[in-house]
Amino acid sequence: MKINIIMVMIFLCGGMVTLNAKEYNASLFGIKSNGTTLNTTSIQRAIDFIHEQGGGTLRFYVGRYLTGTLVMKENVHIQLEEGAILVGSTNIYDYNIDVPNCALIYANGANNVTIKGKGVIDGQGREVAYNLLAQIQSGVLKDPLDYDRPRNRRPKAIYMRSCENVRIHGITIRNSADWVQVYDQCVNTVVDSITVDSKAFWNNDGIDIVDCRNFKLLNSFIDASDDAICLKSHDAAKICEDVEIRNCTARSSANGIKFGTVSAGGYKNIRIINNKVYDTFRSALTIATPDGGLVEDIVVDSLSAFNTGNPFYLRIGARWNKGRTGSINNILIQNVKVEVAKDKPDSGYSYEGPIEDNPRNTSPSSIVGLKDAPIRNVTFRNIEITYPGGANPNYAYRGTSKAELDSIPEMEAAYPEFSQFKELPAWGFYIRHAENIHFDRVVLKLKEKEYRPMLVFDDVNGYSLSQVKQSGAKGKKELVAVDSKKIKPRADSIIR
Amino acid sequence: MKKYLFLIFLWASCFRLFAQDYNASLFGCKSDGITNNTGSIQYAIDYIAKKGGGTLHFYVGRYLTGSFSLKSNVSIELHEGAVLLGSSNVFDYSSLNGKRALITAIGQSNIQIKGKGVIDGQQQLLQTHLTALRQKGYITLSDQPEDISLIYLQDSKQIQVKGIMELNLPGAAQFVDRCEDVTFQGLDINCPGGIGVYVRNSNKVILSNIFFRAIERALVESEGNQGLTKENSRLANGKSI
Repeated sequence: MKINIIMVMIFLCGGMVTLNAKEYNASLFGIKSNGTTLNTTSIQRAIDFIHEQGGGTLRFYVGRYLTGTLVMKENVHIQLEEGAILVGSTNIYDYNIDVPNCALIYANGANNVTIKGKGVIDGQGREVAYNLLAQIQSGVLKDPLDYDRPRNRRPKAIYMRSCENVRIHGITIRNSADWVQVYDQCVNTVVDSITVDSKAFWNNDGIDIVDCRNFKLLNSFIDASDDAICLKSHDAAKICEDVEIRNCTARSSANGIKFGTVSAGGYKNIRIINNKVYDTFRSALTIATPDGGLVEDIVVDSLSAFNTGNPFYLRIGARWNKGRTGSINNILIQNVKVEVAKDKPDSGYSYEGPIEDNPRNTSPSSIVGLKDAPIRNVTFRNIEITYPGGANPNYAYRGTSKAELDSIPEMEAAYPEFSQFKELPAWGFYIRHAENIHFDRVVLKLKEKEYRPMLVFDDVNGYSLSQVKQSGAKGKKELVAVDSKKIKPRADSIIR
Repeated sequence: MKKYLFLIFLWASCFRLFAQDYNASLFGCKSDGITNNTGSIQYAIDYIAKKGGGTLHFYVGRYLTGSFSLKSNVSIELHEGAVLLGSSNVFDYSSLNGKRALITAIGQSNIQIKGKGVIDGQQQLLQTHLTALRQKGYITLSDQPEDISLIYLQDSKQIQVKGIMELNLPGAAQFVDRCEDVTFQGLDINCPGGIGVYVRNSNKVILSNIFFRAIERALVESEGNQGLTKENSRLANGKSI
């Protein structure tokens, strides 16, 4: 009898396992791999069917699977085997353009969803975007056109909203018409070992992590024309929390790793460990909060950046903040090596970053808060940055007298970007409106001579410099501090 | 009252006539940096000219093109971040009166090229293409395609080039021949090995607030000029020209 019960138990367990792991080949649903048959309805039927059956895996083998928008459902896993390509239709009307965030793969409130395998998702974004533009020009669709390109209805490759336990593993995502992948208010997400190659159109952010809790981005390679790895906060009542970005490589014609631009709620407990940035037009790391969000408890450890336009840009602004003021507090940046480019670092990539904010010599790293909202408690430890130098004061000049420093506009309502102030008075770091800024073992190197000093601090209420060294500046004054106060670093303010 | 309305109508129609704005995308121009937009840009200029004039607007992006000709009353605005990218293929530059240029105006008037954008001559790529052709023997040395100008103005008047950045040009940034009332203002010219402004047989040419970041020769004044004004224009070393 006892044996019988055990047998029944084993049988039941086995049954449950097979139930959860039920697998379906795409061909079962009449899905064609010929690259010309539009499979939207048959793939959607497959997803719905698997969902109704309690979940399982839909498997695509080698081939090109043309499709429009697919809506993911709970417990459905898509397996893209090596050689399988999910190809986005170039017809804009094959996408769910009536919802605010249309996408090739769309999910709203679907838990336990997976996309994995060595296959590819190709959004054909450039063709989609230009076909959309043609529909706007012909008057069928209405769009205000921002910078002569469609503002709305450009499909993302993946958009997931309010989903729990999403897993994205191994796949390659290419050529989106807009942001490549967005995870908005998702909980417990792991994106691991993926490749993003998207320089197909404007706003190709590599990955957008928006107001997510417990999010891991690991071991991934991201090459995107807009910000490569991007944390955002769209909802003032929400926050991006407990996010880990580890072992990733980023290439961008905007920023390598960025907080913002939209930052309504904010960011808390973010760990950015052992990442690499290269050939990147703007900053290796930008933390921007122009819309009232808080930024707290951020660690950036072991970051290396080569051929980048700028190392760090930390900025509090007042753009869409609606009476609230953003904050940046407790930032640790350590074990970092950066080499700043002399020429345009993203030259030759599709959708290069725009030549703008001129006349301007090479921009320094900048930490710029607001008069009534200083950036607080930032520690740079064990940092080496090489700058190209060679600034020409005849081309662009900013001196370091109090009057000249005061003449730098606050620009709190402007779009935050490292170059926004045009010429800045330092070659290494420019810090304004900040509190408790600590430099510990910071080495700044210069390749060609400079007319500017290395560090300019303006309204820095408490800074410390310990083992700060430079090379190549040759007798130039290293630090200009105006309205600033030196302090001894308190152990509790920098050690964590 | 009727007369009054008529005047308003007249004023409004004049305004429409002279200030009509057109986006480049309307004519199928693509900002992807790889689509050759020559045909679209030329069609746009001809179309706007036929409609009585206006401005063709280029917003942020890279617009690859070969030679195109300007028409009277048609202006080009390159907004910040917009790059007009000269083709790297020498055959994309048409030869007019023995002169090759990216942008030409011959016998035209009332034209502005303005904005914070960029015109990039892609000198290095063009040079690579030329060298390859020479090695294959397709081009004889008597042609001097290196002498491609960015902007070539001939027998034209009331021309203004304002605010833009000019990069990597092979020949002269601007070549002015038998023109009248031409203004170059607020330009940022960065082209090692090139000539900034070449002027001959022209009246009332103004160079104002130009910065020559890198240049072989900033200004070449050939024969027959009258009333050439230089104000507040500097070389990279700070010296005035």
